[in-house]
Amino acid sequence: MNIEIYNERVAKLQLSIRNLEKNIMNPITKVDTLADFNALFKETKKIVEEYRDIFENMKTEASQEQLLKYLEKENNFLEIFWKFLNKINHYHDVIRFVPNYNIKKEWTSLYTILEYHFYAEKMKYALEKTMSPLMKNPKIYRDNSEEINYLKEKIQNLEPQVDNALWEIENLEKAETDENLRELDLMNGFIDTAKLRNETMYKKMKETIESIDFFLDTEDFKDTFEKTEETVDNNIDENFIEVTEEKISLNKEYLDKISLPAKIKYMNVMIEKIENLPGKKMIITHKGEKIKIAKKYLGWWIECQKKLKQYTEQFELEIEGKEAISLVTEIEKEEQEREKQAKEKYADLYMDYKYAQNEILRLSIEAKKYLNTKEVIAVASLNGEPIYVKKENLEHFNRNFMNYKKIQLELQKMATRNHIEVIEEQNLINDLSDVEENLYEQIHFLQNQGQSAEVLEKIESLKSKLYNLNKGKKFALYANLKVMFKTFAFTNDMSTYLSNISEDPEKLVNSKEYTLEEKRDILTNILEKIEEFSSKAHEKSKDKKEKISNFGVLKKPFEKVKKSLNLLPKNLNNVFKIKNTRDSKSKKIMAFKVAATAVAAAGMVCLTSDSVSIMNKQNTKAEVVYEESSTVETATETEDLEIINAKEDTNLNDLKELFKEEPKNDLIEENNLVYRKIEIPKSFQEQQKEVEFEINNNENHYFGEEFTTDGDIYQNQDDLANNENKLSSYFDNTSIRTVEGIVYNYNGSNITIFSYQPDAEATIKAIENNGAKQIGYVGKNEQGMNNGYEGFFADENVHFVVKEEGKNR
Amino acid sequence: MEKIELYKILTIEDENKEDKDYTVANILDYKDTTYLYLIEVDKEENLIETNQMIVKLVKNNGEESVEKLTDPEEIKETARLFYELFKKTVLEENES
Repeated sequence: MNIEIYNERVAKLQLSIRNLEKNIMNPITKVDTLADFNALFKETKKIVEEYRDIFENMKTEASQEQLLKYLEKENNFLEIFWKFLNKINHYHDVIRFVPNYNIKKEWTSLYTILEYHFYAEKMKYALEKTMSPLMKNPKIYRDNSEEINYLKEKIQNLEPQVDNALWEIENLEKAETDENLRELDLMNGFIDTAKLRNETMYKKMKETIESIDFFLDTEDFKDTFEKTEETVDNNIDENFIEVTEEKISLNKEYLDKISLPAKIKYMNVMIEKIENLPGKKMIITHKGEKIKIAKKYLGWWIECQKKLKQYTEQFELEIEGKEAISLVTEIEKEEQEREKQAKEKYADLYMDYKYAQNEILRLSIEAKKYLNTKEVIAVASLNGEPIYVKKENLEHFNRNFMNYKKIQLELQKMATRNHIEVIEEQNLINDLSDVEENLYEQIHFLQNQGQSAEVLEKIESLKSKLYNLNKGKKFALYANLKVMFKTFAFTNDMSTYLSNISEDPEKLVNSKEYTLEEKRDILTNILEKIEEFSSKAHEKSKDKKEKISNFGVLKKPFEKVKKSLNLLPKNLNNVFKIKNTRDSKSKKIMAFKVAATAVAAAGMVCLTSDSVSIMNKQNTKAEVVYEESSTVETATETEDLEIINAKEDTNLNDLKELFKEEPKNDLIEENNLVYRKIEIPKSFQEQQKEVEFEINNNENHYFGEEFTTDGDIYQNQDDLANNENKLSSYFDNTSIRTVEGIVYNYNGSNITIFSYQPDAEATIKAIENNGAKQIGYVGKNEQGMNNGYEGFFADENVHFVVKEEGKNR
Repeated sequence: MEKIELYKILTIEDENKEDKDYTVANILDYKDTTYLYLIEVDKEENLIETNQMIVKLVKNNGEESVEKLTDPEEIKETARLFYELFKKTVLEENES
């Protein structure tokens, strides 16, 4: 995070420490006089101050991971500092000439405090290193417990002495009159340090240590510690280890069953046994150790070492994995907490900023009324506009203007510290989506420009900008929410509380601390406030002809709150818990089944609002009943059914009305079912025309020249048809040999489906389902010659009989 | 809990504390509310066509739940929209 900006200072500090160690604290340096002492101290004091400034800031700003890293550096520094303290421990002898002053006593007091601080810091470092993964992995605690216990003991022993020393210093300071003493940098510096420690660090350390003690004594910790002791099962049955001069073997079956620590132990025992086998010995060096081993068994020894390494690495990985998870969670939590605090601080400052800004504007507006009088002067400009103030308000203005500027700077500083883009004005927030879009576009463009280091760097920088922008937006929105709630005279706490809820209303919805009614009240209240504020702001901006729309800023939280309010059930009696969610076996099949089923059901529900989901109260059998309005009474009379919805205000026409804009999809009502007509596929119509064209161009046809390409206009009476088509009178039903095609009236046109068409039956089914009516058929007469005579016969009950192979036209 | 998506199977506890499986036949986001069109399914995931219902997705103390609709106007309105959705789906199926 922000620590990076201190890099240069940290580097300088490290250099100073190195110089101190190298040049001043070397064994050659002698401190015999007060001048020597001051020279040494001056350098050290500078380092101490710089160190304090840098590290104190870091402690409040760094993530845990970073803190640990820097505490390590701090710890290194303290080591050096400690050496320094030891080196000057005898200096009270040097400066004992200060008259009327018990330097020795004072020094001892300061030394005790510094010593305490030294151990406390070391303790803190050791605990930081071990605390977070402590519960997950007590092994880490065990590894560090010796050091922690040592430090704890030291601190506990020092505590009464420190209390005493602090008291001494306080009294000594009060009694202090000697000018000479005040000139001593040593005393000033160390007293300041001691005071600071007294006020902050000392108390903090004490609290930390107490909480650690408490934590270590808790049952939870003891349980975890003990349980883990038990669960680390590394017991092995040595009967499964076969290492003799005659035979060495690994029992794989047994190894598969035991835990990783046990496997490690197994391999260690194997190795030890192999090393003890007799034979001509050779010396090998392993991990810096010389090992004697019989040459004969070296192969096995290496094999076992490999296995041991493998198991050890696996085990370490397992532990690290657990630690990593724990650390990540901790870091995330800390980050969230820090962001929350920063956001609240930002919002508070922003409120003050807005107040100061409003006051300045108010004074200016008031002054403008007297613009041409001597009472008014132009004093500054704000957003490019001159600010006027009445002379009598000048003091008030100055105070606010100073405050305004100061807060503006603070806001900017805060933004820098938290890596956010400063967004001060509401109209800027409204324009943010354009800025974001632009950044996305740039990133997208660069992502297609290859993987060069330069491109990647640019992408990284844009991403970081996008992140900071969003963070800034979040902060600014929060600040705006808080300002808004403050305008309704809510207290600061209440404004914070409502702002937090507006930001994340689903948290309230999920909370178990509030009743349903309370949740509803809070969310409704927030919605009302946002609406009220927005409408006021809107009116105001209309008057002023300004583009600023507060609702633009608050729109997102408003929608979130509204959605969350709708997530709250209306009546708990009608609420049923979703116990589980799973995928269906086949999504495609389910989609097909649903498409075939639900369309009619939903259509009917919407058609007849009386037809609804009905839950059987007795046997919990739920069903959808599709009924016309007239049947409602029957359903209502059914005692064991609860009609959820019943209203007689719709009919079939409603549904027809729904599709008014789609005339091709006329609905047909038949036998209480609703059909929708579909268009005959174009390919089929084209195919039909082609066939007809073929008919009329066939040299062997008997229809005469009047049977044109429009000749498929059949009549519903066979005589008339025969007459029109110039067919002989002996062409009648009795002589029909085969049915060649079925003639339909479909959508006002007559069409013929011929038996030789490959999809004839399916087509017939489709058009029949969509309302086509059979009006007759085309038959082949037995009197015909090779191809037979053909004619139309009005009959609605004729179907294809046989489709004769090889007789297709 | 897995995200609620189209054609997923939800196990819902009814008022008699009995579990029933429903498939999510359709989802409708309307007026800041999510509505589900549910059809009961048997163990083999065959639709029980006689049991279909429109419900609202709600949260009861953080638990994902459904609420049966009781307002006739709300039922009528959502059913009309569901019908439109289904109609669109069927037409798309036909086209494909």
